[in-house]
Amino acid sequence: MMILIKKFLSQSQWLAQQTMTLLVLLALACLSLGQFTACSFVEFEPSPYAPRNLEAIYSEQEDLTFIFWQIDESADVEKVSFEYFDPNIELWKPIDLGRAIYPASPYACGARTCFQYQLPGYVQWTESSADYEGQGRVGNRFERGVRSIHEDGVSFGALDLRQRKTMTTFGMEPIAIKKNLEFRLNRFDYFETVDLLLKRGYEWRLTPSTATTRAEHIKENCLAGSGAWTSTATAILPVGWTGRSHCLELRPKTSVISPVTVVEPLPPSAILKPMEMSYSPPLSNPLTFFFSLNDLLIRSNRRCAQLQTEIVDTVRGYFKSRTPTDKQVDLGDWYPVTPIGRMNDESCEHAFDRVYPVTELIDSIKQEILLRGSNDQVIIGIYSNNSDEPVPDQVKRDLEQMMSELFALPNTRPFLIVVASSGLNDSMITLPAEAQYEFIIPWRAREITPFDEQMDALAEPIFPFYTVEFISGMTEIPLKDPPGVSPLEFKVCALTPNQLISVVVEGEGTFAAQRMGMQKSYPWGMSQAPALLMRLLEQKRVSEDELIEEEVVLRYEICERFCDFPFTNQENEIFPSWSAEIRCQSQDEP
Amino acid sequence: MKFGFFRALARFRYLLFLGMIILINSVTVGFIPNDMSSAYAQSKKPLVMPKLERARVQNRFQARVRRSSLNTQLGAHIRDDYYDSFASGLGLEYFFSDQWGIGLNYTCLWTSLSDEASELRNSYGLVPDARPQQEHLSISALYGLGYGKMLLFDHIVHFDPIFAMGLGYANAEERTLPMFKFAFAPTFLLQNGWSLRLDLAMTAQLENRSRGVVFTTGFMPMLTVGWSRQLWTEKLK
Repeated sequence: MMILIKKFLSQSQWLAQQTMTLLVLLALACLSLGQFTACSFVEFEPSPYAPRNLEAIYSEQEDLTFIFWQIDESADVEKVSFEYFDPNIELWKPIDLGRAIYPASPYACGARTCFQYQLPGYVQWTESSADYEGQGRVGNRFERGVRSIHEDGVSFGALDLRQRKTMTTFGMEPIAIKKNLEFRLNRFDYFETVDLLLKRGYEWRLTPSTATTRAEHIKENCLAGSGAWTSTATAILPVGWTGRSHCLELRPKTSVISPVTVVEPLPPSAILKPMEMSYSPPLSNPLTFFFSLNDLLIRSNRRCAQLQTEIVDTVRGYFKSRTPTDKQVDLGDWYPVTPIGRMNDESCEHAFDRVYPVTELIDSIKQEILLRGSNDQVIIGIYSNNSDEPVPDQVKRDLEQMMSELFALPNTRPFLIVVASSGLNDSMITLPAEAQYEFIIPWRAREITPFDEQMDALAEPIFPFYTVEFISGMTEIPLKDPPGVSPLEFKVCALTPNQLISVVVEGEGTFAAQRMGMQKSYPWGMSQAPALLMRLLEQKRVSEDELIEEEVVLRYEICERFCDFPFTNQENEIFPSWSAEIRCQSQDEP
Repeated sequence: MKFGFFRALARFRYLLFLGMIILINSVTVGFIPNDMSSAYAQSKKPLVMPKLERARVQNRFQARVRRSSLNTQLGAHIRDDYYDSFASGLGLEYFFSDQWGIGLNYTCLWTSLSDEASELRNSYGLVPDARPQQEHLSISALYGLGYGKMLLFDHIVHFDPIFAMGLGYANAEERTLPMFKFAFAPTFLLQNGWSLRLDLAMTAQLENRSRGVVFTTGFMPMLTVGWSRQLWTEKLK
């Protein structure tokens, strides 16, 4: 090279200078061109290997700094290790995940791989460079706690760092469950509240308590424990532990340090049993009286008798066939009479001045009621009229008087069915407003078969009549006695319809549905199960289609023991006293 | 540090480029063809420059037609992406005619993060969203502008100015980038088929980054040492 340069220098100085200048300028031009034209529009992004979501949480309770971080799932975990910055000696130190106080393998957490590590004491990384300047170390870089080292030696600083302090990182609110055979820890985990997962196990043991009453089950009465520790994977309590008062001790599992222990009272829980029953008020059929008022105009006696049989008796027969036999009373056929009192024996002769023997009919009905001792009856009257002529005023008055008197009878529901020609419509009988049923069936002298169909349609929704044997506030609905259990108290959990008036407990009295005071449960009673007094629909002498069949569905809970002790429901809510709580545990004990 | 040497080379790419210029200058002057070496001998004598003596027309030194050449390259890829890339490559070229030819080129790159970007990565875990490139493969159309010679330090230097336009791709870790390449390559012809070339290439690439496809440009100066041979000569009719 030197020779070449000398050779070059030995040439024309001017030419050499020009050439070199040209070449250097050309080179610089090329470089400038390259530099200016090269553009990659680079933005910086987090490296997959860079620790992110780095959290350092100091627990005053455990005097430990818990560190959590993540790397992207695309990063190869096998090729990376980690270091933490020791602020005391200002050096990076390797992290051995397997030798942590609470070791945990890296685990997938969403699109990341998560890590955890713990350092004893309070470790804090100062973020402000001003602190360094204040210590005369201007220019020192702030180290973000943890960094990752790739196997090829490249290091990646943490993308971010969040440092926190907390008083408590774990605790518990234990409660005995499954009839005091097991317990549920209800462990408090601070890290869960900040959406972090600290992987570590816990162990427990029972310790004695000096408590003798429910109120004395407090932490201060817990005594020091000495038994063996059991992993929380098992939560079975020793048999007979409820014989005396106990507390529960809990600590994290570690072999590296002596862990912090928490202790809480573990009172027995109320022993409860869910019960369910349904109740339908009994139904009865009222006594049903049938009578017919035949107001026919047929000259032939044979024909008249035939029509009565085929039409009026058919109608009556349909109704009676839908009424229990022992609940029907046939009062026979009734005919108009002449003003002088002569009975129209032929039955089919209209006298213009005819009247009905209303008084006799009503008397006859009253007599039958009295005779049968009935206090619940329905009276069905069938009025038949084949004439196209308007009903005489007197007949109308008779019929209206009859219905009024029937309505006036106690515990009676009269019911009138008119089988008449269409001409009757013009002079429709006006019935009392209470008469809910008034049917007019067009008169058909001959057509027996179509008549059947009509009768079916009429009789089916009406008959039989019912009376619901239930009096609101008086009829008792007895609770089902649980077999093999001696309940002390009970609570109504759900009631449909929710119309409870009061609870009757034998030997204890009657309790209002809404219990006042602290006690929300009811005593069970000594020898007989309690009963409920409810408000239901009162239905008397209702037709088939009027009847509303109510069913009382009741879910209740009985307490066998420790009734004023805690319980937990299915939503894991803990209640300090079952007796004082209005809510039930649930259908099935968790 | 596996690529420490290459990284160092890449870091000093500007100096390297200047070195290339000087080297080309020196070599072309030093290894001029024999038949022209008399010029150097004459240089021992007092230089007499008669009028119009330099405007002589001489025979062409080397024809490009049917000439095939094998090239080795050294250089850098400058992309302004916080990476330092040192490049070396192999190329094969063939001229169908005196003007047109085709070339196939493979380039291997040793790419490392620049110091400032390394600092950012070490401190904050941030890295450029561009990926470091490891290799290029391209096929090019070659166009010979003409040929020329110049008297340089009393030496006659023959050169072929060539344009190259290529398509190819670059491999950058898990990404593959389509690439367009345009180069001006003055080739200095030496004896026995040897040549020295300065490839001044512009690269244009499309990189599919996390925020989308990004168009990038780069500058790729390469010093090429080639050996060529005319595959057959045209028979005289």
